[in-house]
Amino acid sequence: MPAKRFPLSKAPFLRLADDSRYRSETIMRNFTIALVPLILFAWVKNGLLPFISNDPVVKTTFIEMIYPLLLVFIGALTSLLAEAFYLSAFMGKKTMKDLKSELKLSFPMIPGILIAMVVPIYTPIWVVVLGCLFATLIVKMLFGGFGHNLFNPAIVGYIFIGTAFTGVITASGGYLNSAEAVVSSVTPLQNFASNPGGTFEQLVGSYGDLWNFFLGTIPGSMAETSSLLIVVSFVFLLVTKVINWRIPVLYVGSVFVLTLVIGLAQGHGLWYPLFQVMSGGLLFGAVFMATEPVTSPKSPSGKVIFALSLGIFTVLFRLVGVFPEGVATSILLLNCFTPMIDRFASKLRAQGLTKKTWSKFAFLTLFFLLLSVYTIVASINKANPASESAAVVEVLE
Amino acid sequence: MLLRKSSGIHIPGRKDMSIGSPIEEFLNPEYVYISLLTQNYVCKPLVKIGDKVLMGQPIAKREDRFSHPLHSSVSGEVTAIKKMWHSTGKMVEMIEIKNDFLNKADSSIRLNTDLDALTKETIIERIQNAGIVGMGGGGFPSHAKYTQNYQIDAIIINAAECEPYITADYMLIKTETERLMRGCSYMMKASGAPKGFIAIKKTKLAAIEALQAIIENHPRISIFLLDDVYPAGWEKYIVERIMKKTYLCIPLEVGAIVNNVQTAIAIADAVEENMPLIHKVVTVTGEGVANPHNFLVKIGTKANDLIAKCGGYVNPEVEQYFIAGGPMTGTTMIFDELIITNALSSIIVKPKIDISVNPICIGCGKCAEVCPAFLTPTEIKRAFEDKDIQYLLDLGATNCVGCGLCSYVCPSRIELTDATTRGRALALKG
Repeated sequence: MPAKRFPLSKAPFLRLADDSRYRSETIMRNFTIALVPLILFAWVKNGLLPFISNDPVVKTTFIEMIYPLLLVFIGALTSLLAEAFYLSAFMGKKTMKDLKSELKLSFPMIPGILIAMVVPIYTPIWVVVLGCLFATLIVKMLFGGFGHNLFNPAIVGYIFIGTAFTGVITASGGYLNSAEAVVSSVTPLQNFASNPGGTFEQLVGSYGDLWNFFLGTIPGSMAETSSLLIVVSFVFLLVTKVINWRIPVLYVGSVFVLTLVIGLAQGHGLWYPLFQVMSGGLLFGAVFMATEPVTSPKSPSGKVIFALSLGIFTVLFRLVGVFPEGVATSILLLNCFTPMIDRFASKLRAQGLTKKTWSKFAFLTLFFLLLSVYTIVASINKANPASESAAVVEVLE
Repeated sequence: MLLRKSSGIHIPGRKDMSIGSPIEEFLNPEYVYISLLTQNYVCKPLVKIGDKVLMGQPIAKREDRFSHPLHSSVSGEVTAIKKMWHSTGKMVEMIEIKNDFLNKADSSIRLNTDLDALTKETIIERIQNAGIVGMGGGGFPSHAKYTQNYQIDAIIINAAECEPYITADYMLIKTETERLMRGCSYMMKASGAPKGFIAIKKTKLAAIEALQAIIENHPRISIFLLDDVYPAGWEKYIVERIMKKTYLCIPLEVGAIVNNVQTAIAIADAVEENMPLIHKVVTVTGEGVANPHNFLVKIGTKANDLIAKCGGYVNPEVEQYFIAGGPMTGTTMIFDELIITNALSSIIVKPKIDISVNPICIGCGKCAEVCPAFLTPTEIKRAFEDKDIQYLLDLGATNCVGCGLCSYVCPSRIELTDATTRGRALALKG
């Protein structure tokens, strides 16, 4: 009898991924599940509440009620179809079986869902479709498909829509749902951009108080206003080990610390950094966009560098630059540096703090410090042009 | 990022399969095969085909700077020098000895009477003559650790046995506690170390109990409890925790000598009765073995004899891996005619898991998170594929211990361990 042959393989012979709970598919599925509460909140806030309202001015039609859900559905569908088209037309996945197994592993719907969640409420469907097509075909597939894209498709798609179709979006209702359009006229960050030195009453008071910011009943993009639900989703993602705590916590933390200093220098209290953290897309971006694994650094120390830079750039763009947001732009900017950060951080991590590497550590720290100081000084100046020199002295002290 | 202390992650032990069976003796195989390959060195045979040999007689010699003899593990006749399957997954030259079942021992094996008046040199000489090598998997000649110019502060017995499935050391500690302690004392004497530690996982309660029962007789030896993580049995992990400092290449740099449980017991035997290294405890286990067992065997026994002793395979028709070594670092074999060498501690038969399509790297960074040597496996893989040696060196690829954790945690089943160990080899070659 010939000797029995055994199959060959590579160590280790125990893998977490043997269990489907730890596989990539499950990770991406859990990521999508974490988005569901936010989508439902967007629907309740922008669709259901105006629909059941008794106020005839606010009252909307049925189509307008389901519009938020429709937008997410269309976004997901567009991305899926675009990717399927690209795979079959240009990457040789002709048969249905090939296409199916490929799509199962490339998670095609996520960019579409994310774009639909961050656009303003009455964005026309064709604009979202264009954004999703741009994100999937150009940002994701042209770079080589899932795992090879340099930029976060959803972020680029969003910026594409935002820059190319601002007029269209504003004309069709913009950031305010029908109820909000009656009550207030702008989002908190637009308000802030026109009045950077504003007081509590001017910045927060016109939207109620900070609780409204926390619960999400303020004007803003479709699904990113509720800080509470984003924190809940964040905890879910942490518990299911989909994302690592480093990027969201350090990103939001650095924004908080920087704006705290800026606020204190202007004589504002704790409300100022909380207002900055909870308005706009910061929390949503930090939890769902900046953590996108393919386009964020892989090494733990790289994640730290990435998150701190994001925080500083967001404050810089938001408080000093002309755009009211700053989140998407800074993520896009840092995406360019991800491969570099990874190289740099993994070398530092492997070698540790030695005589050879301390200069790199020192350089990095100095860079962050200088950039933070500049951000602080510049934003105080912008907020309070009159007391320019006084603010500088205060910071330096 | 700055605070660097290797941690590990908990891996389910799966040791219950073989933990119930006491160590069974299997000392009379028909043939034994003594491997001429120790570590990376091919030893020179001292016998010819047709020679009669005694149990414990030197039959080959390692001749580099770590010189030591290899011994016949049975008495009988040298019948061939041929290639057999080695636990590295390759075929290696081995001396085949036909057992005459008489177990005639070499005259040097006798009880020594000078145990109270041992000098440092006698102990080291006996360790060298007994051909004792590290039995935890490294196979490094033990005597060489005592002849270097370092001040030794502690002897550490590595009893972590952190790989899943394996239970050989655990069973040995329970039954041979006294010999283990004596071995540790001899090692302390040979090195001049004032302290001895037995590093054991805190979950191995029965073994800790056995150790505690006699620890009072050895005031200079203490038990050091390790967390139940993988790789708690890595030398650096243990030394970092006990000595509170870390080293670059070898534990001697911080004044520690680390040896495995089986090595310590073999040293006790060598010092007391000049017994060479011819026995070994191996665990034969896995889902594919009918009755998993721990065996005390002669070195050079064929693994398929042990499998037969365990009742054979459970599902012979299903495709299974035949693994030499632990499930995290072992090697799959094509045939089960594997020869048990002194550095092999287990044989595992495990059903093949067939997941053919896997996604590409999603970039989660879990591999870098768990790496106990602070490496970034994804970057090392890329550098290896680009054959960028300078970048490999910058990434510290030479520090890879091949523990397997990166592949273990990868949600996309990417062969990271394979890439990093090959990257390490490439970086070392230069």
